[in-house]
Amino acid sequence: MSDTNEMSGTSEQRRQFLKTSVGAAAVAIAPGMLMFDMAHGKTEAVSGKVRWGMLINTANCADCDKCVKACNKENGLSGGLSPTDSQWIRKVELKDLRTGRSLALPMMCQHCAEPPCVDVCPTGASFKRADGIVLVDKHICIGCRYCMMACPYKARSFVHEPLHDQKPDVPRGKGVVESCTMCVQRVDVGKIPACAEACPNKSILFGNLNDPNSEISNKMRTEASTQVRADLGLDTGLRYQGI
Amino acid sequence: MANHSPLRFKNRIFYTLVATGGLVVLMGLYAAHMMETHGHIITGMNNQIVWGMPHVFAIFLIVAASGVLNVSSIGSVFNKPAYKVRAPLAGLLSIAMLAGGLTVLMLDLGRPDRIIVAMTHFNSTSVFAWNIFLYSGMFAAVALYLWTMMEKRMNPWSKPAGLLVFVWRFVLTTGTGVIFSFLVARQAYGTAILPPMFIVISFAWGMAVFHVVQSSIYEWNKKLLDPYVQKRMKNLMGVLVIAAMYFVAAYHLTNLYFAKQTGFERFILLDGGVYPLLFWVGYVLLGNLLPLLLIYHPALGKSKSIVFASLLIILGGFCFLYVFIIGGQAFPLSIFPGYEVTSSFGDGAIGHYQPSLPEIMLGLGGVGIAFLITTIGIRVLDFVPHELPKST
Amino acid sequence: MNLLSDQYDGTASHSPWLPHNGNQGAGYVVLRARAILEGLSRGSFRRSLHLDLLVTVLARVTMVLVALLCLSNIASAAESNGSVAGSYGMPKLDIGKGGHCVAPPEWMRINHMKVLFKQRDETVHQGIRAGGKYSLENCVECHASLSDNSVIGRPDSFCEGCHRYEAVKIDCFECHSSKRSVALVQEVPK
Repeated sequence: MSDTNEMSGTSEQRRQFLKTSVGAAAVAIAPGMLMFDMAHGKTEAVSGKVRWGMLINTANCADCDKCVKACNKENGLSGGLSPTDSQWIRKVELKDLRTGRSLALPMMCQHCAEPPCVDVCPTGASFKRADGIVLVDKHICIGCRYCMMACPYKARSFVHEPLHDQKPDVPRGKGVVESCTMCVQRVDVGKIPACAEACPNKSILFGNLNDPNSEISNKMRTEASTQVRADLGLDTGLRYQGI
Repeated sequence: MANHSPLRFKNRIFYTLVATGGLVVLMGLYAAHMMETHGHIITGMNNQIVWGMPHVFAIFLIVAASGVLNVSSIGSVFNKPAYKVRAPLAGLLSIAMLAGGLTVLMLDLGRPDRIIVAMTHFNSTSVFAWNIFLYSGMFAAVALYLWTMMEKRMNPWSKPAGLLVFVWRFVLTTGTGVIFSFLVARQAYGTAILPPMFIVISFAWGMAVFHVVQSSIYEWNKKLLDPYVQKRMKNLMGVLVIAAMYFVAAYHLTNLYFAKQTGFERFILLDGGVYPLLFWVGYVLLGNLLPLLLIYHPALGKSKSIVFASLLIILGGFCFLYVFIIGGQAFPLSIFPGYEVTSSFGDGAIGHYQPSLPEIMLGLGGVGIAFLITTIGIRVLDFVPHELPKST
Repeated sequence: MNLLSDQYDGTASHSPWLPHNGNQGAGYVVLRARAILEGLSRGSFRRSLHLDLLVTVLARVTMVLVALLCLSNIASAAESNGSVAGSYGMPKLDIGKGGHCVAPPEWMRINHMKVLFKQRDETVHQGIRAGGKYSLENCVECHASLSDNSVIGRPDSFCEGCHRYEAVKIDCFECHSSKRSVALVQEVPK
């Protein structure tokens, strides 16, 4: 009759209250659960049915760094540019050595399907989520920086000093490695990454690569695009137009 | 009462050595504590050069730890009696240097408090995860080997144990080489020649460390090394140095043939500033050519030359690793071949690295650990070689 | 013959295991102290260590320290306020907004780490956020102190109070924000 936890009388009452009130609440809000999911995050796991990717049009890439600023603001980065500061996204200026043509583009984690960083991580902290987003599980990252050595795109940053005032949605700390998360905290609630939203020319197109009818899939099917360092065979989730 | 003087002298040397080693280790641990408290910002490492001086020290110690067992292998596996008596000392040195190198690596982690996580979460495709097994298995294998050699009733087992250690250290050094081989995107690495190169280099460095340690022990204990054995050992060291040079030359010459690699080779060998300097002067001249002269010149090649040559080889080893590890990172990734690249994150730019005091202290702390283990080991157990009686 | 191993010169050494025939107490200590000094002057450092005396002294010092620690613990426990449970002076916590937790407090005390571990793996690896009910962010949202908006930093902060008492280091807030998001909004001027 008495349960193993040996709860006192008041706790038993509280428990009963919770049970009945939760039951009543469930009945009341069940119709709204779908919208609740969208607003506050899914209750089932992400799956391989979706593969998130981005298409970046370098022809439209303006002379600004709004994507960088948006990423910094969304993820709580300092925005500093010293060699020890984290940069999840950066503007890269290119000039063709032979022809002299100049262009610019944003560079961040390419979210490869065959990520070298995932292969080399000793603890499995660097991992690819089922929906294609490559992340660092900062709970088990030991800070060995092997993934930083392995990444062909210099996407990863190491946190060199103690951090304060992190964004509640984006935990980051000293001694672990981090990189662009494709704003999982936004994607998981149905929004698009901050950089894609901030670009004034809509040069960054975010979408589901596995959906043949999505805007990004249609565009990739009709217009030319390439992966950066396609020779490595990593099947990146990000593709660029105009390089 | 017996004359205390030689005993007191030896005791004083021992305690002085232990105190010095202990002090160096403490400094290293203090540096690690500083790094853990304040973060890697106090070191010279940054987002371009992610592995620095601690890794130079650690990889030297680990590679030499594997190579010093060459002495034992020649004794146990290839049955040369002159080397067999040196096998226990080589085993001790191996354990000591491995312990020192691993300590430096683990303390340099961004989160050293998560070592337990590293021991319980394994990614089967990661070399680092394999290495956790290889290195701890190495300790066990060498300890087993030492036991078979030092306990009389186990002596018949020393040959199989020696074979186990021989095979294990090949696998271990290959594991060290493939850490770099598997980095496909870096121009300095990503090549299959690295594991054999590391194996042969380990032989050379291990031999050099063994010579230095053995000579010091014999000098302070008024022991004499049979000149014949000394000659054989120094010649072997010479051969190993030449073999190591061959592999390094093959690596660079092949790289020079690839058009996409010439920029990197130019940087390392010609206009990279400190890197060509360390490579040509530190590694090739002081670390290879001068020791070879000291070893093979007919007028030289005695005890002092050998110790000096060994020290130079060790110095050359550090220079080589500095160029390999840090120079390899300083050269920018080729993300957009055919383009000139600039960005706020150092794309297209040579990375700058300034070794800092905490890093050097940490690295030296690892050497101190190896030193302490060796010194105390020799004192309490029977590791010093029992020289064979001279054959007439 | 291993020259580096220590060798006795043949005189009988004082074995700690031999009976001392009544040489106990202060007089004994004085005698041994003199022996140490004599040993040092004769230059035999190892024998002069007199390991047996060292061990005895160390053991006695340790016992005294342990006794002092116990006394101080009992004293501080008597001083601090008890909770409903009452015994051993459990810490008093500032529970922030309070009210009904997502689970009963006693259950939470025992199981909150399991909840957090499971939740973190589900969220990070599978993207299950489940309305954030069991997320660390949600805990902080409710339980951050109403005075400084934080769950750590003061001896009676919600997380810190018990963790200090139990001497279990909290690792979470090196990365996770320890302040409720309302506080962040208020701190940022623009």
